[in-house]
This record gives sequence, C-alpha cells and structure tokens, in this order.
Amino acid sequence: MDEMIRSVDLAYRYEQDEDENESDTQSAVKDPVYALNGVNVTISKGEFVVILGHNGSGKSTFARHINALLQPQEGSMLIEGMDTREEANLWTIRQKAGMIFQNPDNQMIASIVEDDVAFGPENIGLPPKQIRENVDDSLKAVGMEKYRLSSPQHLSGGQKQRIAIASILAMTPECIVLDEPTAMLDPKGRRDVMDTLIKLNKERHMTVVHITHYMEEAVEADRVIVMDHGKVVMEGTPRQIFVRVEEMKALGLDVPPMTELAWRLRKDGFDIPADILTVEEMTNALCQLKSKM
Amino acid sequence: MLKDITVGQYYRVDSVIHRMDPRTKIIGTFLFIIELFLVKNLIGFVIAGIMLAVVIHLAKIPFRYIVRGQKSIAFLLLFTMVLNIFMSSGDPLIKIGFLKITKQGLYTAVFMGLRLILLVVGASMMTLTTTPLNLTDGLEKLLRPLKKIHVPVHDIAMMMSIALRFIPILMDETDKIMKAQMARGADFESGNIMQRAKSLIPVLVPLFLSAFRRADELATAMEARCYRGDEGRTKMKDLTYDKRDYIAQAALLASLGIMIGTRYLPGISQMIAAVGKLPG
Repeated sequence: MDEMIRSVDLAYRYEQDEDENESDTQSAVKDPVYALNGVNVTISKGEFVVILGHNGSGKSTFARHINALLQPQEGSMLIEGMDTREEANLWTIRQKAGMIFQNPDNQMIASIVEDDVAFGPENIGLPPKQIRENVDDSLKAVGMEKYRLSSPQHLSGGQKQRIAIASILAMTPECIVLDEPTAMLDPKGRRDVMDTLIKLNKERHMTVVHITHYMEEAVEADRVIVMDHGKVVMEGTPRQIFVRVEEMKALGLDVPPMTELAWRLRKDGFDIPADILTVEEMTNALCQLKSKM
Repeated sequence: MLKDITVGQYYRVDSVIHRMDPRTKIIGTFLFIIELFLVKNLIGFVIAGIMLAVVIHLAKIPFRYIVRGQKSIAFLLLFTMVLNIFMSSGDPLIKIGFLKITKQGLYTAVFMGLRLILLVVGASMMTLTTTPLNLTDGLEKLLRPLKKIHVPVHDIAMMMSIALRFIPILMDETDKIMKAQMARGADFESGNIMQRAKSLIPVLVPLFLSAFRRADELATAMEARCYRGDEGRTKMKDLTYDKRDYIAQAALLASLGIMIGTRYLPGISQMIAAVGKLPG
C-alpha cells in the first residue's frame, strides 16, 4: 500500500515563556519538556488510525504536524513524500491533509452552511463551477445536503461537526486528521460523526487519523496508536491493544467497557477470551460459557 | 433573553429588490440621499416620495412594518421640527410671548421633517432587503479599486463577516456567563448606574477571555483550510450584475436628472404669487 504519512524521529518542544525561564534559575538544568520525543509512525493510504493518550501525551501536537501547522524541530514529517518543512509544499500539504478541531463553533467562518463549505476550495482558488460541485458533493457525503442554506446557529453539535468534515472534503483531500472532534458532542452526535468517518473511509478510501478519548470509537479503527509523554508506547489492532488492560490502566487510559468486564471475569476465574471488544462478542462468549457448564 | 437580538433588520421575502445585486442597492441608497439634499421645493419631495413608494411596493415589504421601524426616530423628528418652527427668523405669523412662528420657519420645519423621514426610510430599504453578509460582499467589491492605494479591502470585509458570524455566539455566551454568575448570587438589576456597571465586570472578563480563545482557534482553523488572504482566492458566488441591475441603475440616473430638474421649478409660494400677478 502507498504510504500517506511518515514521521521519522519527530521531536517538538513548545517554546517556554521567557519569564518562566528566569524564575526557574535553580531548575535550569532540568530537561526541556518535549511535546514529541522521537515519534516514528507510518500511516498507509486508506487506513483508519485512532490515536489514544491522556492529556499532554503529544497526540494533538502530532496531529498539527500532519497538517503542517507545526514544523518539526528535529526529525522529519513526510506527507505523501513531501517534507512539511519546505515552504513550497505548505499549501499542497494543507489541501491533502485536512484538519478538524474540537470545537465546531470555532472552525466555521461563514454564517451560511454552504458558504462555509466553500471557504476551503475558494482559498485554493478553484473555479466557481468546480467549487459548487465540490460543495454539493461533500454535503451529500456527510448527509447534510438539506441544511445547505441553514445558519450554523440552528444546528446541533454533531451536525456542525459533520459540516466541518464536509468543509474539508470540499478541498478534495487524501487524508483527514481529526483532533478530538467528538469531545464536545452528545452520544447521538458522536455516533453520527463516527458513522460519517467510517463511511468516508470505506467508500472513498479516505485516510482517517482520529484522535479521541472514547475507547468505543477506537474499537472501530484498523489500527490504534497509544502515545505517552511524546512517544509512541503501543501500536497494533484494537484487539491487540485492548487485551493489555493493565498496561493501558498504568497509562491512565481506559479499555472498552466489555474488555474491562472480560478482564474482571477472567480475574475471578471465568474461562472467557480476553480480547472481547463489543457487546455482541460478550454475549456470544457468555452463551458459550453457559453451554460448557 | 439576549438570543432574540438580530443583526440588521432583514425582512425575508422574495422580490426583485431582494434579488438585486447589493452593489446596485448601495449605490442607489447613496444617490437617493444625495437627491434628497438637492431638493428645494415640495414638488421634489413629492417625486422622491413616489419613487420610494414604488421601491417599497416592488420589495413587497408591508407598509406597516416600515412605519413601525421608524418609531425610534419619532423623537428626533419632533425635536428638529419644533426647533425649526420657533428658531427661524422671518415674517412672523403668530406671536406667543417671546416665541414666534414664522412663515419661513414653518417651511423649513416641514421640509426638514419630510427630508428626515424619506432619508431614514430610504436607508432602511437597503438593510431590509439585503442580508448583512450580502452587504459585506457588495461593499468589498465596490471598494475593490481602493486596493490600489493599499486599503486592505478584503481583510476588512472578512473581519466584518466573521464579526457577523460570531455575534450570536458571543451573545449566547454572555447569557450563559450571566446566568452562571446569577446562580452564584450576582445581582445585575439593582443599584445605580455605577453599581450596575461594576457588576458587569465579572461578566466581561470571562467573555473577553473566551473571545480571544475563540479568535485563536478560528485563526488556526482558517490556516488549516489554506487561508492566505485574498491572493489566488476565488469565490463560489461572485457578484454579477443582472438585467434588473442595469434597469435599476438607469432608473436611478434618470431620477437624479429629474431631481436636479425640480430645483429650477418655481416653488408653490412663487407660483401663487405669480398667479396673483396675472392680469385679469
């Protein structure tokens, strides 16, 4: 498979305030705090990757490197082989790797839905006719074509976030990076956003890099990357990751509720598979257990 | 409580005037204002009034709605007219104590009143038939020539449309913060003006903080969507003049000509005087 994103020994440190440095004269020897410290990740085209990690683990910083909002201080970040540090690649990279943020209100520019979706393609300088086509097509892809002329105020959080996805789609990207897009949504909105992402991934082979706190969303990914203190600590399919319940808990992370239940049942001596992720799997496992007894 | 505030006073209905290019409407409003100051006599005002009535009719805006919108200027209108009646010098008609009403004063008062009413109704026709967003677009395109002398026209227009987008959001936020403070015992309704102003500080500080945070996030999101000012930028809905715009512009030019023409018509008083002088 073609590779979409590749980071090599990526390191980044946020600049500290000057006065903070001055007051910290005794601890000047202290190591600088790296937001990212040697991250090596390769993501192929068409993959659905979820990045997990508690606050301050560096996952948002990593996401911002993909979109070239941040440039690596050490190591390198390649998007389809283009170095994000090259000024000439900047706008191509931002068009190819669209980014969605947490607060849906703070990423909408226009007061009418379709004008907001048109903002991206207008910036790239597409001809008006092409913009129109892209806008209609991407609103359809997220199932919001009925709200074309609405104003964002009258939409729910989940709907606004789907408009934000449409706004990125209208720029015809290869990859969508989402920085906790579901954190401010209700369960229904979260489900709608996830369904939209899965649909885009399956039908349009869109590469999705999804950052989240919700383990049930991670279950639906092709691959899960767990970050801690600016490093990748675990990587694998959801099943491979979530069976390591103790390690996850040590990192301050949860596992899906059913995996947790299976883990507790096993601790109590029940013979049940450890890699259960969903309610259906749990039901099956319990039924089998019952028939064995 | 703050949610009901709307920006501008757009009246949503489909009409020729609503569909007209905002630029035509902006130019038209300015021309109309200039015309009103050119007018010197009653005939001019009558013609201006008829023109405005035609536009109102075409815009399909109920007359009552417009009248209701003018309540706010009623005081200003009354004040100007009274002042003009009593303060002008000229031939006295009636004398009450030290106050006197003059013929000239009466004339100026009536003319001033008419001028003010036509002015405000004319200007509100623009905002009634054009969404704030369209108005911004129109201004951007109209002022584009100013870019040659380094006026950041695009940036100003972008700021205006973002402001329009965020006014309702910040309204909501103010509402939320006020309720949160009220739940903790804040009192915004009693006390004198100074005390009330002081009690707003705990609302304004978090509001400003949040506005700055929003601005920062919005800027990042815009950058992530390839925004780099207006270089190489296209528009999905570019403004183009339609047939109706050309007709409207021709009509506007004609009206300017007529208005200038009325200046050379004799006023009514002169006409009566002229009739009186006629022999037999």
